[in-house]
Amino acid sequence: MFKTASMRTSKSEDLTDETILQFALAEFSSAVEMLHAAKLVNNSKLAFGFVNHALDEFNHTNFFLHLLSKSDSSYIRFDPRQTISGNFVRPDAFLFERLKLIEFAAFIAINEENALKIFTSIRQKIQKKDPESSRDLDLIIEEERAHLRSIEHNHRQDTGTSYNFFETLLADEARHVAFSSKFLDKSNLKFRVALAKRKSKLGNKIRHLWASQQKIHGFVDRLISNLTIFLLKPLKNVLAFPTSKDKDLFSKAASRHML
Amino acid sequence: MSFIIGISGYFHDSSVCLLENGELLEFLKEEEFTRIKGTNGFPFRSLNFLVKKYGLNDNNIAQVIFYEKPLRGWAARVTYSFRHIDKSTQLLSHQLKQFWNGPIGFAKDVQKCIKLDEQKIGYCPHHLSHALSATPFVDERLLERQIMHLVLDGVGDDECQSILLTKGTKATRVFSEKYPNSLGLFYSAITDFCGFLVNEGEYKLMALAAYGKPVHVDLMLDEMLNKKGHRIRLNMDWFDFNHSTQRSYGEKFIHTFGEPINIRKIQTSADDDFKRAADLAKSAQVVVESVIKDLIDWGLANHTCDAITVTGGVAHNSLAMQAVCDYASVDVPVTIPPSPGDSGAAIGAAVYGNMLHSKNYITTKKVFFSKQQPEQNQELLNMLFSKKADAQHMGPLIDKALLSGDIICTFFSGKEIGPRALGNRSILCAANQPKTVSELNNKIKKREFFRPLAPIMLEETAQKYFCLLKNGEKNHHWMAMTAVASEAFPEEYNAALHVDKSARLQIIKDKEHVIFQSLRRLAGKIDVLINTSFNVAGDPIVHDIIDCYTNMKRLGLNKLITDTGYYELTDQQQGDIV
Repeated sequence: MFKTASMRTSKSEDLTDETILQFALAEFSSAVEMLHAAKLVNNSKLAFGFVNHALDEFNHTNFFLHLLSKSDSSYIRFDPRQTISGNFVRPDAFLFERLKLIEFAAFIAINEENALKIFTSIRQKIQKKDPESSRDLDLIIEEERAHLRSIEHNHRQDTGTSYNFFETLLADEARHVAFSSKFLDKSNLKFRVALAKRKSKLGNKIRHLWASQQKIHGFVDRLISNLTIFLLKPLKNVLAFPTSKDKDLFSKAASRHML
Repeated sequence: MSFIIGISGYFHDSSVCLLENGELLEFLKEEEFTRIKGTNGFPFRSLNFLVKKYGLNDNNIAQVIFYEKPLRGWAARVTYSFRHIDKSTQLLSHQLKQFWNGPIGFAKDVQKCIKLDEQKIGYCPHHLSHALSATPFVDERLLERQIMHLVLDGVGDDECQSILLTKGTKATRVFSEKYPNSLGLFYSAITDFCGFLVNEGEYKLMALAAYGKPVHVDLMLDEMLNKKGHRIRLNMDWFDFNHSTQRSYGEKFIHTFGEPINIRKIQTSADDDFKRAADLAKSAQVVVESVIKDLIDWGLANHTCDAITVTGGVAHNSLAMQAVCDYASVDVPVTIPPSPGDSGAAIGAAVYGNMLHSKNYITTKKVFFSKQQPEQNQELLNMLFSKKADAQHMGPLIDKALLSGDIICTFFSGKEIGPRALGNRSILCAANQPKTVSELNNKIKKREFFRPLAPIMLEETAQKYFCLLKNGEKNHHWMAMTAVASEAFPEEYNAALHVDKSARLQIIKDKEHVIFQSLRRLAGKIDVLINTSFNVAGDPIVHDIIDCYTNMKRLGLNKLITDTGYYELTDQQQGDIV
């Protein structure tokens, strides 16, 4: 995960369904971003690496969706479209389209590290939330490992004999940090790498600050809307929407109108 | 060279259609690029892809048409909300914000991709876009005669249901039901209450109907819809879609039918919640069919026609479309296009542009567009897959795999334009291998147990095993409607049928197609294949070879056939992980 869910959600005593949903969306959006990077990068080995990173992120999404599947709420539902409306993914361009390769790698390194911290901090909450499913997950992990990760053995850091999925998730994130840092270290442009990392860190802080101000955004939005509504309210009874009277629907002149 | 572009977007399923000299050249959905199903917003990526691929510019573009009248749609909804301001403040606030980032800024968004003379940008009435999306698939001899277009939508511009007539270069609107009296939004409210996502889970509700009883039909017709003849007047006490951004059903709904259904509880078991959802689904299905039939009756009683088309989101309901063709009053050909919803309306917008530009309809006999597969990096292809046979020699391997109960993925040049995979981006297996079919449905695609899989077969097989309706047979070429199995249907293929013995079958007629040839060779051993879309549940269908790889890895599949040969996944060393 490199587009982290809002931090404020992880400070509550228990892991709420809403927080789990946010994590699932964050993981899914990271998968989509990596997939897009794989399609655009002009280097087959890197593309292959991006694809495998995307597969990890999809797998992590599944982990959170599995947790969510135990939810009693009929209102909490995973809808991929929320990745756009929830600002996890920009509607007009993916990260890889906006950043240079070095900046992209720096962004991942910084954010994966951040994700690792968040996941470590919520580890106990996950065990508290769903102790039973962690046993069920062991089986899933074995299957997943067998068919999803078989190609990664050579490069995987030893995660010991534990089949706990969350351990795997943490190990994945650590590995992503290590690989992206290694990638950056290979670069001769030390100054640019340092600059890109600083830029990413600063950007991250601003992004998280922005995200954590949702209540203020909502308040300002509501204030403006309600003011507009209040000003227009006296006109409520005279508002009448005209019926379309186009006789010829293929009229060229009518085609120019938005009404 | 003259290009015309049709665009749908901002609400759900954004897409772009490109015509070149009156020929349907490309149809792209934004979700294929974003990998986020149902992507809304302006389709920047699809349009930029086409701009680059065809060198689109102001000199070679004749028209760019948006699929609705943006100001009309926005103003209609805002006016309605204002009239009910006591309940609608939340929605109104949302609608007011949309003025700045919604479809009213269409021209500005187009200019971000192509610098274009603004005179070339036009707007087609939403329901006309739907109606015209069917015309390329209507028998071209009928286009000069009177055609009745039934549009059954959620809401578009200010209309919910409408009937339009076209005759050559004339198009008129003869019936229109205004917002909020919407059959589509009624069905979406039931979808929402049963735990499925609106604008996404309606087809699941339709599948669920086969398990229920129509116990709420009278209540729905009389209380919720106030149906009088062909008109409906929604009682808004039952619905919240007119004032809430969170849910479609109202308090009265909960008071009558109990707590909203948790989708997770009905996905795996047939308990009380499942029965509750199934009864609602069945009742809603009967109601939808009843309203459609009365609309058709009204249309036929007041206007003559030589053909009927049905479009709009409700036309995705393949069970209701079977009922339309089966309706005794309908004795003319019925066309339900491959993509009758908002996504396909981009085709209608492009047809509209062509009518303005050259006064001609467009016709097509194809169901696959975008001739070339996206360019692939050969080095990467070799890293992801290992080639087992060239295209000329893959036939025996395909047959062997199908006979031995294997599952095969397909990725051929030319993409399906509708939501159904028609063989070019499909996952296939033999329908007479119940263990494989069950594994495909439950373990691999992880579909809900109540959803059937769709079969694909040759025409002679379909005629032998199904009760096909003459006036709508063509719709089976793109899975637009269901059919009921005949007495002759062999038990060994039961895995291809729903519990009510119906199937949303596809008839494959293209003799050059690899699947057609395989079915020909296997005749007598395998006559029916199971055909499901090549995607992970909830994701868009694959778009390129990287999607093929990631989807196969996630689904645990390893056989792929393409234009260039038969491939299996490799056990390659890992690339640089970043």
